[in-house]
Amino acid sequence: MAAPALDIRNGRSSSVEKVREQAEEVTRAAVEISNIAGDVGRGAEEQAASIEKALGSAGAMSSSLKDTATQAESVATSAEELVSSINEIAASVEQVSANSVSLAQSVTQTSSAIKLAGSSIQNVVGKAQEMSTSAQQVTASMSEIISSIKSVSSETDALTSSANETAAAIEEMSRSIEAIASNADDLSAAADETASSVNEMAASIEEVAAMSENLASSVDELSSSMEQMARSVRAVAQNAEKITEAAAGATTTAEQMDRSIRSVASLAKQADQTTGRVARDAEEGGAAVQKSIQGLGRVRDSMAQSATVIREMGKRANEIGGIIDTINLIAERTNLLSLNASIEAARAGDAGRGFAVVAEEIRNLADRSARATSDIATIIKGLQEVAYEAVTSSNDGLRIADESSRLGEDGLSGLKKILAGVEETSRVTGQIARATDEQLAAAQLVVGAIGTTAVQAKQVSTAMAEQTTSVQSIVQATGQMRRIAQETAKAMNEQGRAARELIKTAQNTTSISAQVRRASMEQAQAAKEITEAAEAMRRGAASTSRSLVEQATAGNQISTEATRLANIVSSVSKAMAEQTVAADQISAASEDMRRQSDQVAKAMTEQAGALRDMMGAVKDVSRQIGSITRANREHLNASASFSGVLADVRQVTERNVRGARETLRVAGGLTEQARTLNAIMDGAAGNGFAGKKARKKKKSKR
Amino acid sequence: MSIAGPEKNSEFLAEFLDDYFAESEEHLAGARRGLLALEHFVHQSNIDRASLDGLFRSFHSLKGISGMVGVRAAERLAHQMESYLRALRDWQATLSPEGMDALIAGAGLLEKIISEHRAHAPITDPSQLMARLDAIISEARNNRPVDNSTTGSVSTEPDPLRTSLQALAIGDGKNVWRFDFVPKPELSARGINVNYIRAGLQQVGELMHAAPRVTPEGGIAFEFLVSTSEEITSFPDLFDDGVTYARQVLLPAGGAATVDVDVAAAPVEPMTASYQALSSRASNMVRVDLARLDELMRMVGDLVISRSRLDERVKHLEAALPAPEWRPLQETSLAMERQLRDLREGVMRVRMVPIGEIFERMQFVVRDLAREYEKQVKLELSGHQTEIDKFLVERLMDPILHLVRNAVSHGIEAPNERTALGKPREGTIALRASAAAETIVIEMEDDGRGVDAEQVIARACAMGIGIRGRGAGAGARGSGVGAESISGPREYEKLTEAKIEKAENIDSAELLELICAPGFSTRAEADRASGRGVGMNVVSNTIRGLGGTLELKTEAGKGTLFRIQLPLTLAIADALIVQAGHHRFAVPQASVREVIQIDASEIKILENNDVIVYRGAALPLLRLTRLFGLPEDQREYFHAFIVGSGLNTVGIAVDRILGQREIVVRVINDPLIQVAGVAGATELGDGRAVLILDAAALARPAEGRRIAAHNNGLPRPSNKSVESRTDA
Amino acid sequence: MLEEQNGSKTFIIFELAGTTYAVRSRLVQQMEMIEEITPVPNAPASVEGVVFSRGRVIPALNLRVRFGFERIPIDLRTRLIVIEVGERNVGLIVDSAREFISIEASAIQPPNEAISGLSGKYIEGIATVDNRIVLILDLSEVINLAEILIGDQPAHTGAQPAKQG
Repeated sequence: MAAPALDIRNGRSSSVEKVREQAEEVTRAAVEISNIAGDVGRGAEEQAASIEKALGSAGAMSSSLKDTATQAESVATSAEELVSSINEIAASVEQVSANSVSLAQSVTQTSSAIKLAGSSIQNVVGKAQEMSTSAQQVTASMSEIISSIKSVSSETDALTSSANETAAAIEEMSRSIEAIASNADDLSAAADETASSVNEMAASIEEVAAMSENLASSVDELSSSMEQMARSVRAVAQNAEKITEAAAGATTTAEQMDRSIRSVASLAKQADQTTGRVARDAEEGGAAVQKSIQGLGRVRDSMAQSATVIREMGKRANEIGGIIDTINLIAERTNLLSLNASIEAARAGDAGRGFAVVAEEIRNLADRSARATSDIATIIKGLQEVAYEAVTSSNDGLRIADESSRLGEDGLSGLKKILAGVEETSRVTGQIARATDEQLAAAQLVVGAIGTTAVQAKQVSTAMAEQTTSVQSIVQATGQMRRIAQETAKAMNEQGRAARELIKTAQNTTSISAQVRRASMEQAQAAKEITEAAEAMRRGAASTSRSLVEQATAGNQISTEATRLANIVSSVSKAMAEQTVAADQISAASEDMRRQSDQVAKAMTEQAGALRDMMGAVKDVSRQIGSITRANREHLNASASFSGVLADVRQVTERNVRGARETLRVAGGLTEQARTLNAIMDGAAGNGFAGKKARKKKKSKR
Repeated sequence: MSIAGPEKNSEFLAEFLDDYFAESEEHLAGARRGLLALEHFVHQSNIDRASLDGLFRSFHSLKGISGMVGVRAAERLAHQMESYLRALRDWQATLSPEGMDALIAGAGLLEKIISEHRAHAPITDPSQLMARLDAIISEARNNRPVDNSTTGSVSTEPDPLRTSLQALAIGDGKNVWRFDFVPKPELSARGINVNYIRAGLQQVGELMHAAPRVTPEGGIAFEFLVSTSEEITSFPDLFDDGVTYARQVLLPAGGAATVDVDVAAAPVEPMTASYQALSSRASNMVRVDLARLDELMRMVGDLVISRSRLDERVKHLEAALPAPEWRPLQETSLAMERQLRDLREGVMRVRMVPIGEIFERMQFVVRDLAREYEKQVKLELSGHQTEIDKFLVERLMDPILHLVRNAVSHGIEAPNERTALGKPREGTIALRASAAAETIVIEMEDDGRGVDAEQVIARACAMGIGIRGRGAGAGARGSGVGAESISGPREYEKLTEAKIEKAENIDSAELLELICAPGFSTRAEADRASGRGVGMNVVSNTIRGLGGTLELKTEAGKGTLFRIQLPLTLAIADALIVQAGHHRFAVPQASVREVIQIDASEIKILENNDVIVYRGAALPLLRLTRLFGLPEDQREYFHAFIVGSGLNTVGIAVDRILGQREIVVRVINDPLIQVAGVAGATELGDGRAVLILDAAALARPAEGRRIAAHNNGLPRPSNKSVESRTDA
Repeated sequence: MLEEQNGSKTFIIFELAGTTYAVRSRLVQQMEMIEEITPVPNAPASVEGVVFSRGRVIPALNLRVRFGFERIPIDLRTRLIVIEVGERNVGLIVDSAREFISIEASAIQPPNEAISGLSGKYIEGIATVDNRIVLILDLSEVINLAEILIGDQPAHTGAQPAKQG
């Protein structure tokens, strides 16, 4: 303001005292204006610097500009009171004033645009947060899946081959999860880059802000730059769309996974049913074994009975033997008596002759009876031997029956163990089914989450479209961009964190996979044990049937040796037949069990297949997540481009600063003009005239 | 019973011969009794007719039966003796001492001939004695005395006991008076009762017999027999006391001891009084061969055994049968036991004969020996009706004969010596018998010089008895281990030597042991009656063999008493049943002094000898298992029974004592099974023979050594003295 | 008697260690089965012990031991032949004795010098009966006291009781 006053003093030789005084005042004002313009230049620079640091500096510049406008207006008003020569200046000032107003308006617009951009970015951030939450949900779901897999793994001990396959599948899955993890790492790195790009974008936005404050002339350039940015944002939008697509793909994959899990579930159910069948068969087998044991008990009883009878027979034979002994004794005694009689008869001479004959007859009779007795004794001895053998063999049979019974009981207890194992398997299978159900639910959650992700990605895409609109607004209001970029960066950071968590999750997945593998190995072991138990049972059954064969042999011996004991022996052989049937039942039951075990194994294989399928699905998810990451990267690149655009914005802003300097220079000229005016006033003019002249001067200058 | 020789292979003759031997034995016994009675009539012609008839009849019968069986020597001798007796009877010839001697010798020779015939030994030729008799008969015919026979006054019916007492007294040359006292109230008022009369008669002489009898009026009268040495003609004082009297003369001869006391009433045929008892008895007597009685006894024994088997079975049935059925069975069994006992006693009674048979023979022995040694000896007999198993009687003859011979030859001093010692000239030998419970005691006592212990010891020492003699007869067979069993003999030898030094310390049992040693004799050369060095050994062995004991009591200058104690019968005895080394043995209870229980820790070992302290003194303990080489268990305690006496007391240790039983004794005859320490066998009801231990033999040192020698096969221990004993 | 009259003699036939022996029935008092034999301590080895026979205690002489054969257990067929020779009664334990036969005097030959086993000196004669060689024993030699008492060593002291099965 001092400069114009000076100009007035310098521009006029004719002086009127009063006007001169006023002209001097104008000069002083022009100087003041000049100073103020310098101040403005400095302030603009400061503003440019401060734009880089803080948002509020732009507003300060704006208000300072407004102040300047206001002061300019008051200058103009004061200039109207001055001489006509000041009109130009006044006009010029008016022009400047108007320019300032429009500048102010532009700044205001920029500010609002920036505000809009900020809210948009905030929106993006919210979406990103949602996405993060979704990702967290995914993670949680995944961990649920993993824990359920872990429980599956830990509880599928008894299933050998399928467990191994499961383990292998899980290992594969784990590897795939590791791949996911590494992808997540990449994503994280990309996110980091995004963040730095966003930082750059923020700096560029600061430049834009500085530019916007000062220069309207560079708006076109700005606009073009904005177009570039818009393009870039569009690319981002496109990328977002790609993310959406990827999310859709993930959804598909998740659905595939879901389907796979469902098939696992149905397989598990099948396995459960199979196990149930096995359990039933085992129970039937147990019943059969018990029946055979009962049969053996009956065999034993009948054998004991026959042994008793045979012993009784032996005792009878012994009694007969005793009677034979007695007969022998009697025969010997008779012989003895007749001998003694003969001796006496010989002593008696002729009188004893008849007696001697009788004695001899008696002796002969006694000898005959002794011989007959000895024949009988031989027969009885044979009978006794046979009876003894029969007793021995029936004792053997009894012992074998006892042994068989004990073996049968052993078999039964083995069977019971198998039954327990089968029940355990059934329980585990049920748990697998349950776990699979849980997995299914979790998978559904995953699907849902992925769906949500897709929706949100769509929303992101939409938001990006909005962003594009917003960025077009940024063409007019660059200031908003920085904040948006910052928010974006922040969102990107969060995205990176989410990605890191994803990595962590992936790591978890790996360790869980290892646990799954271990559990699977244990399952394999258990399955082997089951196989062994089944083998033992089969062996038990085999030895049972062998014992039965031996018993049958013993029974046959008995039946051939003691026809008189036919009834008992026939009951024995009937019991044998029952035993054989029972044994067949046992072996049939064993066969059933083995078949059922195969079915279990097949079911496990199917489960493994299902798990492989699921793994494929998971791989798909992972691939799709990779695509997402790639999309993010592209987004990042877009952000980088965006940053480049922002750099352009800053250049524009610098040019604005240069414009502001020129303004300062103009203001210096104005000050000189005002001094000149002042000089003129010194020479001649009154006050009002000088004022007009100043105003005019100002107006022309613009 | 032995079968007759082949040259007389007729059962009938054999049977008849047995009858002949039995009958002639009976006649000889009667003849001996008759001769004893007849001896009082030496130098007299008024010989008791009855006695003569009895004797005549005896010899006549002997002549007849000897002729029937063809024992010509006996027939001829009996005929000659009959002739002499006929001479005495018909011609009233005076019985000369020579005649008496010839008669006694004849009776002895007859007995000898008959027993020679029985043993198929060469028959002694009786011709010498017959010639002697012939001479005596001729002399008698020439000196027929006047018949001055006076028969005795009145005689009541003969009471066998009284008669025999009377006969004995009269036979001793005493006067025998009979007094009859009828108690009356008035006499009783004056204090004259049976006791008063008895006391009065005891002043008169020896009261031999007193018995009440019922008078024909139904009152009570007392009859007394009194013998007096003095010649008293009347007892006028006694009439006032209501006593009547009569002098008794010898009435029946030979009515003394009889085989059977139970005499039937009436004689079947009229006989002289002197023969009445014998004849009537003969008609009711059944002569039984002892072998048949043995058989009977055996059968009774079998019955006893069968019953004990039955009893066992009945006991077994107690658990199986209801009480109402079992009890009658058991009662029947018990009743049977009682009946069997009665039967056994009955059979035993049949076997019992009075020991008088032996005693009477001793009269002749004493008479002969007294004459031979020119000593005056009188034989007093008592308890000669004591009954003893016939089996024992036959076996006791020799021991008693030996004792009596010894008494006459060694014990009784010569008459002059006796007078010098202030003893009656006539020595007395008493033979006494008495029965106590299941044993019979026979004592032979003389009033001679007694056994001179110092002489015996010196003699034994000189003969090496107790050293050499004790071991004689030890068999070579036997093996086994029983080292300590030799302790007995060794100790005995030491003892013997110790006692030789100290004769006054010897006790009668030890003295007896010495004089019974085989080969011991105090006479340098043998004489007829003794001195052959077998006498006392035979006595001792026989008595031991019969399960009896022999004791000696002697006092120098005063006399000697031998006491023989025997079981009443050998057939059945009470015995302890003991067990050792899984075998049962029976030990006759009579030989066991005490039964004790010994803890194994009480047994001390002195030089391989088991010794225990018993009644404050060391008692050798013999283990039956070791003596017999039986398996021996390790035992905590033993049972032992004490046998023997004096220094021969030992304890025989067995595993345990099973109980006490009445056993039927069977003798072991065959040498194959006659082993030291075993006296016989019995059966306890299970059909198994159980050996009866000769406990006394086990206790005797010599036997102990013999058994030990069997068992350890060691050479006989020498006479080394290891220690000396001071206690007796 | 019977035997003198028709020129034949009667015998009891017994078996011992596979050999057939005969003893004159006249010398046989009776035959018995063996129930209990009570061993006698310190008796000769061949004396099995004592038995009761008709109430008498007689030695039981084991002929197997007497003739040098091994001892065998007593059974149902074992017999005790109670003989009476002189004044002695002795029981002979033999394996079996079941026959009573008559042998013609002419069928008996004196013992051949060649046939002289352990029991050779106890053989009185040899007879052939129904194609069987029978050794006729001289019983007085068999039970010869001096020989048994001195010749035998007591192998059993308190031997086991023989019991019939």
